[in-house]
Amino acid sequence: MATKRRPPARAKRTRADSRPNSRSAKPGSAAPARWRLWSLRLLAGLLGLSAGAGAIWIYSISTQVIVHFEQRRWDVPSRVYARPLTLYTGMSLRGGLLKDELEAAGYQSVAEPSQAGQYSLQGSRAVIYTRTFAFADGIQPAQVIGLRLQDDRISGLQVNGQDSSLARLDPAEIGSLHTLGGDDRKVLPLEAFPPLLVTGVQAVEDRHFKHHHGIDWRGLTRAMWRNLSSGSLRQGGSTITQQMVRNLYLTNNRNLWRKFNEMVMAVALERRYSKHEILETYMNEVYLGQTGGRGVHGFARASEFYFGVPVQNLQAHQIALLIGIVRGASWYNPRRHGERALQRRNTILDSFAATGLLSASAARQWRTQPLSVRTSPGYISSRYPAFMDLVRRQLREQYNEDELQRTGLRIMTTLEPVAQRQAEQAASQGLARLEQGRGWSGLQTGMIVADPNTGDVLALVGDRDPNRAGFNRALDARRQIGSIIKPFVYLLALANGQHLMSLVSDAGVSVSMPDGDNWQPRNYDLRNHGEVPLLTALIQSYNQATVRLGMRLGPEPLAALLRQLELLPENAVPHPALLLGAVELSPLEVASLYQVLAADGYRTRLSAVRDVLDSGGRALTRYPVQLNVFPQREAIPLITFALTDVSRRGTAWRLGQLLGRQHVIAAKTGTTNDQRDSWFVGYTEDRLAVVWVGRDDNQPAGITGATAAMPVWAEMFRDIPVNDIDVYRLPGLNWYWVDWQSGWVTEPDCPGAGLVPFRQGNEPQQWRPCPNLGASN
Amino acid sequence: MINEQAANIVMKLSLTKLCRVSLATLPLLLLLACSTQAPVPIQERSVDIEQEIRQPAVVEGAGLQVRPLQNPGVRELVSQAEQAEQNGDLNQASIFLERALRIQPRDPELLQSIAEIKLQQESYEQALNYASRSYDVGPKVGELCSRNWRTISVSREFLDDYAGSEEARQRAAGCALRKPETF
Repeated sequence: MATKRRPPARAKRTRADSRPNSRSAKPGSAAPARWRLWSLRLLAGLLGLSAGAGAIWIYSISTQVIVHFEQRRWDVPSRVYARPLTLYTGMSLRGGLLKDELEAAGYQSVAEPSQAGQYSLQGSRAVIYTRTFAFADGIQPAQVIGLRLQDDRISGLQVNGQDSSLARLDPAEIGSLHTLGGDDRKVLPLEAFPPLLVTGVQAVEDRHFKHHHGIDWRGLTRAMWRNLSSGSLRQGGSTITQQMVRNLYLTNNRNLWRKFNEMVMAVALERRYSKHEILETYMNEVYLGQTGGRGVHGFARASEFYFGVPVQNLQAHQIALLIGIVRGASWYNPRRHGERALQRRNTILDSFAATGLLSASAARQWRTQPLSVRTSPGYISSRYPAFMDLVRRQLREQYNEDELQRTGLRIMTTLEPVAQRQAEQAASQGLARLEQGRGWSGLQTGMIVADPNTGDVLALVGDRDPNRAGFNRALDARRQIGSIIKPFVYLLALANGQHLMSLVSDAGVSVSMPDGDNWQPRNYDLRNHGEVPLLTALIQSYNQATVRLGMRLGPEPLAALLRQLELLPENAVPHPALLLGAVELSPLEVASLYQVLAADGYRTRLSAVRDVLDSGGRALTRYPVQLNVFPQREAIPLITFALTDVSRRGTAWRLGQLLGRQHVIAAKTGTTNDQRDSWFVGYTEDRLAVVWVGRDDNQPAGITGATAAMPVWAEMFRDIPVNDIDVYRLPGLNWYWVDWQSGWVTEPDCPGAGLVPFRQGNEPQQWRPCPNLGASN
Repeated sequence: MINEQAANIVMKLSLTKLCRVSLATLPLLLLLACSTQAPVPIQERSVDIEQEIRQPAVVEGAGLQVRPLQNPGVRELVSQAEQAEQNGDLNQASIFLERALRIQPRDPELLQSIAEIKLQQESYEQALNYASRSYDVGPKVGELCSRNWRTISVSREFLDDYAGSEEARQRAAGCALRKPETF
């Protein structure tokens, strides 16, 4: 550390050496004189040459530093935000979830919020002081939101003291799109930094910044003198401009040649740019820490990183700490070396007092404050790698990499921090628990949570270790989907005049193939179940009945349905095995398949981005919710009803047990050959989630949809409130009491009968009285 | 040309609606005028939401207003959207409505409001689909039903489905009489 600011020993070479002095040669006599003349000419020539070379060198490094500087000034990565939390009266919300949301958005818990970015949550009351934020619909100034919770709902809401029905928090910043391995920066104009920070940094790092031309000779001399007299290299004497140059090249190499170059470049920058521009870039550029593989640059980012608050909200002692860190971000790392950092901070506070920036008494008072650094970074640049991957892929359709990395776009995404956290926990802990309990190993997962109505992707997990970037299984692991396809086989049948009580045979089946082979799929339990209603065949996931039903229309309509959703190539020739899910899809693709069901037949694209704004807050691109009518939509409510029956008495009957509550959730399990893949899809009115569990090497894992993916799904939804499906509000259905055995309409409350929906005009024709009604009453 | 069109529209309106609709229409026309894209065939007529959808629906719905209780947050956003629409800022209106959609995605009134904005934005297919979704989850009688089918009718007309448009017009007329067939 101490040697970092060693003064350059031969810094004064610059001008003296670059001036040739050829006239100093005087003519002598005869041969020796001629020789002398020639040697003098040679010397002059050499001097001229080296001076010329020196000039070219100086010119080239000056140009180089200006290009670099210019690039850094404008090279601003795009910032990515989660969806903002909207609050409204009547909204279902638990105190714990609100706290999680606020923490994710970097809010600070205090007793009484007095500035933006703070909140208090006591019992059933919360006060939130929001931050100014530019949304797609305009700038929302900082507001004080008061809310009251009652029975896990918002019962009262106030904005700036006025009763209101609606409020919106500024969203959590979840990352930035920078070059791979690039630095993490957040760029603000100089005026946006607190004055104490701006003057303080000059007072500590470069007192004569306003007056020097890039090099502070007085400071240098003083530093040299002190170093000599103390016998150690303690003082640096680098100006802010020189530090700026060092930061641009990210080098700690301190040999004299570099030092010389640094000074030349500093002078070049000073000649070209105003003090304002240099200081502004410095404030945004200075190296202040490390997170993951990235440097934390600039005071704005560092403020969020260490204190979890915007730089405007920093208090004097926090400002002093950040300025102290400039000298050595790892040496004075407040999270690692608290005591050292505290001393450094106090030294800075003293120098604030000495230079009159703070009164002596104020400085004394600030000295008594603790460091107040958050234990975990208020912001981690490498969080949510799977989701960020989806954001990047979606944006690439409209923007090139350069625009994303350098133009400081503001990207409003659909990420719901609480849902994401639940999904991550379910992935890591859920899989570990499964492996422990059942002796499985090497399992991996891909998960997605979406709002089926808007297509918003709320959470995405691509690895059981959610912070590991790399293979994104939610998007790229394409696996056979097995029984997950079955609802669509039944959908086609229902759209073709069948109803849920229509009968189908579950006897053994053999399909002759074009190549002469016979395909003979078997039921999972290897038994035949005779004539069964479609409803039973679907909720018990019978293979034989499904193939028999599907072969009435053949695999082509199913292939057409998948093609329409762009889940099957145009030229694919469908094999009958498609009826049992012999098609490879990613979890995201399965989600887009089921989105159609969950949104009652109104298809919309699954999207991770809502709006893209430019750095000034102007809207550039909107991704509106576009609805497309699905051809078989009339039959979809029947399928949704049937799938709620799957989780009641079908293959997913254990779901309620796993969730620990009564529920009405549409669900489907899926298991592929040799138990390689385990799928579970479940949806409510406002949530759709897909879980895949399997092995990366696609080896048999001994897992089924109900034993692996379903518990993970349930773990994710155990603590989040969801709007269960109200089957009686499903559009376009008429309800009848139906005898389960015969499928005939019967009298209400008849034992062995239940309420089953039918499409109008397609009700079962046979009616019979309830034989046991009298007895049971 | 643009002024003539604006003048025609304005003349058709009753005095009470004059300010409101001209304000709403002018920026749209100006926007069209400023567009730098290749010239598109000018529609022979433009849609007047008040005249073609909302007002006749009140009559056609025979006073039958089936309004499911709207979430207060949604109501607030819908009224902000109405304000934006009156100011002629359809884009802003649709942002407000989409925010409301994220609160209550199956609110039939809200879905129809979005459909009417889409219609004014000349996004006919989306207008059709939103109106259809509104009908699916809506009361299927009364004023909202009539607005659903009128929007569908006008959208189909612009999409050159004249038979479908006529059929939808008749469905609109039936909204007061009985609970029509589903779908």
